[in-house]
Amino acid sequence: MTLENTLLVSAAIFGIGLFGALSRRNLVVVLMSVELMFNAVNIAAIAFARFTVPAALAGGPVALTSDAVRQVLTGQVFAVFIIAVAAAEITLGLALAVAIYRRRETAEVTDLAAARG
Amino acid sequence: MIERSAIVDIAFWLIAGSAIGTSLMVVVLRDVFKAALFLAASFLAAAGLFVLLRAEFLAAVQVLIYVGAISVLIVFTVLLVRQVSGGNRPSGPFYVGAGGLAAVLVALAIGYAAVNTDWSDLDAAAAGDARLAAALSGQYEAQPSPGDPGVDVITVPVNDPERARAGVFERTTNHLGTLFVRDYVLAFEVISIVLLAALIGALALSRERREGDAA
Repeated sequence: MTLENTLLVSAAIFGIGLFGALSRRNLVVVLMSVELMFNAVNIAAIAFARFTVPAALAGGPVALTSDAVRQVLTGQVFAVFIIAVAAAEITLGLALAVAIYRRRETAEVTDLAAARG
Repeated sequence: MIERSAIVDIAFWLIAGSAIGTSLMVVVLRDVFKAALFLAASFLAAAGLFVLLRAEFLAAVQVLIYVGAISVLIVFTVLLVRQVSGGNRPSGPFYVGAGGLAAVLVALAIGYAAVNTDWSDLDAAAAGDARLAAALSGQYEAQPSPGDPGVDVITVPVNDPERARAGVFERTTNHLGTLFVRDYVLAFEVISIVLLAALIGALALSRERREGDAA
């Protein structure tokens, strides 16, 4: 388990999510693919937090300062905020999907593009 | 320092393989309901990766929010939208080709950058630096700095667990809690407003409109 391996896993999941978001017809599946991409980003952020040397600890730490701890855990803090934003996004996206389905009796992206205007 | 053993490697590849496999199933399965279940499995596998990456708090958050809440929300929506079996069709051959090409190119670009960049490796650095290793593993003796109570001045690496302090990655939950109410307090408050706005927006969007309603 190295940073490179973890980033490769993250890139693979991101690619799968991107493919799903671009190619699928069902609005709910598109949203699920976007969640996969968010998840891949979280994995990358946490891997960076785990494996990279922050400046405050580089070159021989004398003190484990609060600043050093902050720099070590920046990736994890980012991941928490990404999770919160992703939760907000999926909530709104699914509410939109339900609202569109009620009005148009469809949840397919291609039908929505055809019915534009 | 964090153990880099064969067992951790095996666990990593098992969890990573299941994460990639379940993610693939989400995209290729025809049944949207099954895809939603595989999405939950994919989130669970990501939580396993978080544990291996020493982010225990985030693993718990992942299970609570993604597996517990978001997956259930998606399953509810799949049931409400009632296009379950055979609903996950591709938009057309052009979209599959273009989307696949874009996804492969992006993944290759990220992978190329990941492999070819010279990352400074925390473990490798700690292997050559006794005090960095001590800061990570907690095998050190420390005195609180007189000026700042949050500062541990690392004096001597020790092997005595009675005297050793907890390392950075051994109490991430404590550290994260401190960070959220001190360094990142503004972002923390803003994100709660974002969530409130999303909640109100979702209620407004999904409200059933009756005949004669003003809005």
